[in-house]
Amino acid sequence: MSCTLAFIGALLLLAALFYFGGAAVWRSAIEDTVAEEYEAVSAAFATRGQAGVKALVEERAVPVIDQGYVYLLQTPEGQKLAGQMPAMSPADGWQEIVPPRGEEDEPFIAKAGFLPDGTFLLVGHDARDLHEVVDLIEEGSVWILAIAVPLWLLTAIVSSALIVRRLEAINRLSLEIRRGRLDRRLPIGRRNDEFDRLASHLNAMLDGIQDLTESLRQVTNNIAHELRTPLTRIHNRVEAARRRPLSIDAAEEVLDSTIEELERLLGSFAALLRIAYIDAGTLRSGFKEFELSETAAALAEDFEPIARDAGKQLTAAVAPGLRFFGDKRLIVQMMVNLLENAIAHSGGDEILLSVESARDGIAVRVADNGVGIPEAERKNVFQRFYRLSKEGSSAGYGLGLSLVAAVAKLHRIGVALLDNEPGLRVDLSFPWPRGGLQYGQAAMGSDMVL
Amino acid sequence: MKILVVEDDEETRTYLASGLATEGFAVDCAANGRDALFLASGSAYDLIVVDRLLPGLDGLSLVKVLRGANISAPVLFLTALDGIDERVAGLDAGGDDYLVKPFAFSEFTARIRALLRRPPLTDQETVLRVADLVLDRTSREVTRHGQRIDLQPREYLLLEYLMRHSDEIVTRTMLLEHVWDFHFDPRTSVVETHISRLRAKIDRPFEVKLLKTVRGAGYSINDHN
Repeated sequence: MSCTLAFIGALLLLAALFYFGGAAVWRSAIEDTVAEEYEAVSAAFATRGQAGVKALVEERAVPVIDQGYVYLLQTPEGQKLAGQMPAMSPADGWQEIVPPRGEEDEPFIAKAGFLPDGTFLLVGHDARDLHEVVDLIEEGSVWILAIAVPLWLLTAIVSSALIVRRLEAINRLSLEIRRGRLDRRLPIGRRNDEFDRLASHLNAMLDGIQDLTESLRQVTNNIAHELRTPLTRIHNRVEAARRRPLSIDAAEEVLDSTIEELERLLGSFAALLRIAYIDAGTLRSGFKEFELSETAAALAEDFEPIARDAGKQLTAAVAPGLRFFGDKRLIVQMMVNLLENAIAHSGGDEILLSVESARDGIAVRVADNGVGIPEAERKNVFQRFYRLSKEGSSAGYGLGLSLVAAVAKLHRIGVALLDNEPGLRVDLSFPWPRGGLQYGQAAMGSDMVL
Repeated sequence: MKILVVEDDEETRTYLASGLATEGFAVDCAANGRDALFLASGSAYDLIVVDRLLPGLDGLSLVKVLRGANISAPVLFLTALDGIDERVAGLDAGGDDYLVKPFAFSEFTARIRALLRRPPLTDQETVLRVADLVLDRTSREVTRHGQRIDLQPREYLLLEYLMRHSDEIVTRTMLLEHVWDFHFDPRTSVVETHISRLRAKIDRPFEVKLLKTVRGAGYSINDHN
């Protein structure tokens, strides 16, 4: 409603602008013509005096006076000398006059003044064009209001009804979603207008929310299952101990195993919290540049004897001088997790760690020749508490690859799990630091693609 | 040795206090920052254990105020917040060490002993000695009984850290943090493997074993029996 009022107001304002603006332009054009004629006639006084002016007026003042110029020349005493106008009481300056037999409502515009000897001269011109323009504007404004306002109202009603209907659809859907129907989606039209784009953005958001809820549900489930087994074990053990008198040795054994079990649980929680913390993304503010090559080489040295003790061989091929921008400690933890997986869980006996420059960053690879991960499982292994083999919990917390995924996401590192034929190959693609290609160039030498 | 424990959770506070008392320390307790400030300005403590999250005046602010009041007793932060920037904030505020909950009591006492015995100038000593084992920090040379011993870079760092804390118990976590810069618990035996390799080089050829395992606590390098 207020919109309609504003529209009518604007229309009236526009009409007023036309009316006054247009009239003023026309009036000043007529005034220019009159002033010019006045100058021309009065100029004759300088050369030929009053008689010269009189002659000129007599020559120019045609008898037909409903349009064109009108003149009046009268003596200082008030006696008419020439012109179509009757004698009048002299007044200086611009005025509106009505010539004899002229229309009362269509006055002429005139300029009057005194010549040097006191003779009064008046020159006027009809303002018919001005009056026509004013009439036209007046008439036009009425028509505009009469036609445009209803037309606009109609458009407004129809289009707002359309908008309301589409908004109503969004509202209805939001309500359904709030009631738990997360699978509902907004219809998207073919016009690709603002509403269609809004709908597709909302749908994308809903997809994201649905994914998050699903993974949250999954994680909650996993955590509950993860907790139930050890808690049940602890409960049973302590309960059994409570039922009968215990020797010191037996009591110590019960307590030690309980502590061990609890420590595992706490460790599992610590890892879970750490992943959540990394996922929150706030760590990005602490990113620094560091030499990834050096870090990887040191890790290879650290884990080579561990692999050897486990009867396996860790080989490293690390290109020197490659730098990365990120959280070094998290990158270390990510690589340690991958190395530990390869050493402890892969079932293979050869592990390869390689770091080399690639076209758009640094390629880090951890590969083994073990049993690998079946293709269908590769998507799942990043889930929290997901384990390939269902039996037992000896194989770590089931959080190693979740942490890898979280650290990779934080650093925008690409992670690909591939078949090493046989075994698993984890390819990490570290992006170059933004605006920091020069580090790479300096480090890569001839390898650099320019 | 007098220790102030500032911890708002009563059970944890009692657990820490009675444990420390058993270890032979005199212990005072405070449940919040205000009481802690009052106690610390009244008597001289050799060490203050501060929970990072306290009601009212939180742990960080408390330590800042203490440092501002010229109370320079070493501070060990306890926290459930495990994040690198949390550690940095704690150390920046004037804390000397940082222990993440949950922790084993042996870890707790090892850290406390390390802080209490921390000789102020250790970092500047260029030659570290334990019995006939000598580590020269300028030339990075290690000898025992005059014989030169070749160490891998990590083994050198490990030995240096142990020798800087000779006679003290050094926990596995302390080693992970300071020698490897690992702020997580690796699943494989990184520490154990390197300790045994180091042992093979510095102890096995000699009669007196210096690098000892302290059961349930950690490691210690010394020439006591």
